[in-house]
This record gives sequence, structure tokens and C-alpha cells, in this order.
Amino acid sequence: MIHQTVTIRNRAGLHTRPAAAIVKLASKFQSEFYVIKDGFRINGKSIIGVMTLAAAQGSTLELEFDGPDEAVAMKELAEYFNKGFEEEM
Amino acid sequence: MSRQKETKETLRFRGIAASRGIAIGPAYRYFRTKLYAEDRPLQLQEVGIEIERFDAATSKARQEIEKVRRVAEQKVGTPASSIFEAQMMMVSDEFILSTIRQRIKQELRPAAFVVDSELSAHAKMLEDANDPTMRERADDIEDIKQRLLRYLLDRKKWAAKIEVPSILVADLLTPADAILFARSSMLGFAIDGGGVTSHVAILARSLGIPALVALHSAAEHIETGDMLILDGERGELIVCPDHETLQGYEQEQSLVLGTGVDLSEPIFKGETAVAKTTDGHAVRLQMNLEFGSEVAVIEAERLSETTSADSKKRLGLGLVRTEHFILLHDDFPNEEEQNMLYRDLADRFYPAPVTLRTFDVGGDKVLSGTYREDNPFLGWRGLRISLDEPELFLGQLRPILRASERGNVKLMFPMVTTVEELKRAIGYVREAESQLRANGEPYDAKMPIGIMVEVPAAAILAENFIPLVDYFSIGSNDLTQYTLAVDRGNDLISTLYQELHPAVLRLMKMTIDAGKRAKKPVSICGELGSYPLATPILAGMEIDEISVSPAAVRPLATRLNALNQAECRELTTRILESAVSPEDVKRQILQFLSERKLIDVFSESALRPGFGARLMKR
Repeated sequence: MIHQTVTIRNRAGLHTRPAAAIVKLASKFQSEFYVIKDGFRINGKSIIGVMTLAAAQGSTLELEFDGPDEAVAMKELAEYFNKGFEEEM
Repeated sequence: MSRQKETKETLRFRGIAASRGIAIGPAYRYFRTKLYAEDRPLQLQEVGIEIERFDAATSKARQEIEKVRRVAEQKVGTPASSIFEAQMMMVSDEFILSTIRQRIKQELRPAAFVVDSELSAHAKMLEDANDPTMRERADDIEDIKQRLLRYLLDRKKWAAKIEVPSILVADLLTPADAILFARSSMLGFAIDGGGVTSHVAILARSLGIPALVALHSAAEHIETGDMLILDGERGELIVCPDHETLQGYEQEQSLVLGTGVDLSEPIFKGETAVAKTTDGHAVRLQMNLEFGSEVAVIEAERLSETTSADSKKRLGLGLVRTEHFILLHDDFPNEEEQNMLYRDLADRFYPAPVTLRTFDVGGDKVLSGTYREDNPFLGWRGLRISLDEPELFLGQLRPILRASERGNVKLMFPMVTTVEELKRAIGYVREAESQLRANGEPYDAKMPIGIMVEVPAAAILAENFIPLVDYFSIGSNDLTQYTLAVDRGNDLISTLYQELHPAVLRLMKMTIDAGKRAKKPVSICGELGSYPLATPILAGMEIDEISVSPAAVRPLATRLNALNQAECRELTTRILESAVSPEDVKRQILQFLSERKLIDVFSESALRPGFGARLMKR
């Protein structure tokens, strides 16, 4: 199991579109994917779960991966977070 | 509580104008009662049935959302319909679905109750968020929950249909409702909830129907059949207006407004690409492209038999808001997508010109709506963003240049404030050109480059900007906001937003005069172009080109054809010298029109609101 901390960078925060994109991306990997925020731990392959994190700009999340392709999954997802979901920052 | 219509007093409610325009008509009170599920203990043998019912409900929900998504795509284009794609993912969220199945099994509770409890808990988390945009997203989950409950509780299908053209009034409206009602005669809608950035507000703008949101507790005071005025200009809902108010609004609706799209009639007939004043001065007409969905309609009309050969050749796009392709989609399209988008437009309209304005995001145009800047309108937006993000900028300039290959593309920069910025922007164009040359890719080396004149500084220094560009285009909406220091989205002061303010007119005149002296064309692409009262002023300032929404082209041509440019020039000179207020300007124009018996021509040429409903019927 591996972890990485990321920050929400885009202005709009983790709203519907990025939530959908994260779930789509995470579903490509076999590994389990969890997102932890303020003590909440949600399944990162659930769009409703990801949306309900209500993560606004500046919030810090912990990404947790567990499975055979965890390293590459973490790399790709962390990159998407770090790009501010390719939105206006 | 039913009251006699005669005795009903006038009520006024303040809300936020989510989509501009004025609608007048009877109310259609839409009750979307929220469904709640009751709890009861399940017998063990019922569990299988309940889980089957739950699976059937989710599969039904997917089918219906897909249906709505298809209607939406057809009516408002793919980007705006993407909300339904997200909803689709939500009802397919295996994590939530299996939690619900588990709970039915373990807790021995009915499917409806578990759906209600599980999804309410998730919606609640969003409602509790500090961030208003996040709170609005709770509506999306609530929407899914209600849809599932409806199937599970065997409720009838909501009748999303209005028989008489009406203004819909409700406490809340979902994006799916808005799309379905828009297929019948919805003139506009007014809702207690929502915000400017809620999905339903965005859809209203895409559909082009006036809408008010955040009216708080208006709906409970309104019954079906009550006469309503929905004022999407000032953000007000007037219930049972008196005769005088109603007359005033009817006049305003017919004369002053004219920005709508009435697609119930052919857009183009005859020589509309060039209008001629009675004394023979030509004004070129072009179209603004706001929404992707308009392209197909515009193209069909442009190629129809009623369009003259000349119009087909000349009537192009005076403004393509390229950010439209990101805004509703929430994302910047990549270079490959942009290559396709721009090339497609250039090809469709060839040989007519297509003016591509680089991304103008920021301010009111950011979909997600949580601005961290104190003054987003005075902040990081338009060309400022492009210059700070060279990768993004070059990634847009290259596709634009590639699309210019056949020589009918014009480039335009938004939000230019200093000559230095413009020089840097042109520098990037040259850089993109040399990148293309290095790859042996063709482009138009003479592609005209222009700027939007929308910041007063650019109008005042127009003389300094003109040597660097091939044309100016006046962005009257922002020019008005910046000149008058009025945010037209702010309902407390939006009445101060007056495009015919003498200060705005003087800046426009300075811009046009600078163009004339340099013998370079000046156009206008703001809403002022389709505003009937402004036509005499634009003719009087001898503007070269006016770009308006597609359906406003013909009415504008009708007005220009009825005016004498020399007389308009005199009127304009008089107004610029003497008028001190917008009211003063309007009075002088109205007097001018009535002396020439042109009032009728002008009010007939104005478009009626409610065009959205007719658009849907096509």
C-alpha cells in the first residue's frame, strides 16, 4: 500500500467534472484507490463519494493505493491532481 | 389558499438574473414535491424482490437520463449536456449501489428507504460545505435520489409539459426538467433556489430563455394563471402587475430588447450580409457564435434557398467565443480538438470570414463560479491569462493559424489594456507561425489581427493601438461595465448598467474615429449591436461592421435600411455634445425615430422573447 498527499489547486475545487474524470481514470487501474480528507476515507472509484468530499481549493487530500499497479496509478492520479485538473488555477 | 384574481395585489420579488431577457405571461406553478420513503421491516423472503426492484429502478434511471441527455445535446450542444453524463455516472456508481444492496439485505429495510437515507447522507455532506459551488452540487445528488424514489414508489411520471405559453414558477428545477419543459411553451422560469452557477442557470443561458434564480420564497405566493413579468434585465419578478407597469414592460419588450434568437422564421432573406442606409452607405453584418449548437442551425439557414448567393459568400462570424468550448465542458480543449473545431468553422463558412477570439475566461465566464479573486472582473482574465500561460496560448494560436490556411480566418484578442500586452501577444503569433513553418504546415501569413476594445484604456488610447492591428471590434458589454464601474450581474446595481450612457458612446466614437483615420475597419460585437435604439447611433458613427446573434441579423438590416446616415450623423453629434444621461440619449433617439415615423419599423424589427419555446418546437 502506498500513499501520497496532494493539494486541490484549481479555483473551482473538486466539483462534478473533475470528480467524474478522477473516477474514470482510477477505474483504469486494478488497484484499490481511496481518498482521505479530514478523517473521511472514501472509495476513489465512486463518483458520489469523490463529490461528497467537497474539497475546495487549498484543501489537502491523501491518496491511498493498494494493488499490483499501485505505483503507476498513483503517478497518474497525483499528476492529474497536481495539474489542478487542467482547469483555471 | 385560493384568492380571487381581481383582488390580488401586485407583489415584487428580487432575485438574481441567471439569464437575460424579459418574459411576460401567465404563471405555471410547478410542484415538484419531494418524495420521502417510509421505513418498515422487511420479511426475509422480500429481500430478493426489493433488490430486483432497486436494480430495475437504476436501469430505468439510466435509460431516462440517456434520453434527456440526447434531447439536451440536440438543443444546447454537447458541452452543456455533459451534466447528464455525470448524472449517468452517479446512477452507475457501483460503490454506492452495492452499499445500498448490502443495507437492504443486512438491515431488512425497503429499497426506497435505503436509497433515501444513503443519498440524503451524501447530499447533506455537500450542503454542509462552506463553498457555495459545492452546495449547488448537492442538487445533482438530490435529483438522482428523487428519480430513483419515483420509480421505487411507483409515482407517475412528472408531466414536464406546459399547454399554454407560460412562465414556470417553482421552488427548484432540475436540469432535466428545464430541458423537458423547454420543449413545450416555457417563456422563462423563476425559481426560489439555485444560483448563477447552478447547472439549471447555465442551461437557461444555453436555451436563450430569461430566468431568475434565488427568489427565496416567491413561489408560495404565486398560483397558476397569475400574470407575471419576469425581468431578467433587473432581476425582478412582478406578480399581478398593474396595467401601467404591464404596458411599460410590453413596450420595453418590443422596442428595447432584441437580443434573442427567433428561429421560427428563416434567418436570412435576400441581401442581409450588407445593409445600406437610404443614402447609400453600406454596413457589413456578421454573426456572433455563442453556442456550438447554433452552428448547425446557422449553417442550414445560410445554405437555404432564401439566402442570396452574396450572403452565402459574405455572411460570416464576427465573433466566435472560443472559450465557449471550454466553459460548459469545464476544461480547455487540447490542441488536436482545437484544430478540428476551428478548421470545421473555417470550412463551413468559407469564403465568409470567421473571427476567432482567443479564450476570454475569468470574471463571470468561469463556469465553476468560485472566484478567489476579490475583483474577478478586474483580475486575471482574457489576454492576461493567455500571456501568463504561453503553452496554453501557443496551443491555441497554432490551431487558429492552421485553420487560416484558406484565408478566411481573423484573429482577435480580448481584454487588451496596454500596447505592451498587444505587442507581446503579436510576438506569440509570430512564434506560433515560425513553429508551423518549421513543420512545413501552411497558414495564412496575412491573417488579420484585431483587438476587442472593451477596456476604456484601449478606447482612449485607440490611436496608439491602431498601427499594430488590422481592425478593432468594440465589445460594448464589457466596455459599459468598465466605464460605468457596474457589474451587470449584481442585482443591487444592475439598473445602473446602461449601454447608452453618453460616456460609453463617447469612447465608442473615439475608437471608431481612430479606425477611420488609419483607414482600418471598426466593428461592434456586443449586445448593443442588436439593441434597436442603438442602431441610429451606430449608423451615425459610421461603423463599418456590426456583429449580432444570428436571428438579429435580419431585423438589424431592416432598421439600417430605413435610416439615413447623414441624419443619424447629425443626431449622434447632437447627442454626444448635449446628452448627460442615458435617459437623455434614449429620449433624443425616440424623438428622432418618431419624427421620421420609424417607431413601427423599429418595434416590429425587435424580437420577441419566448423564442426559446419556439426554438424547441422546430
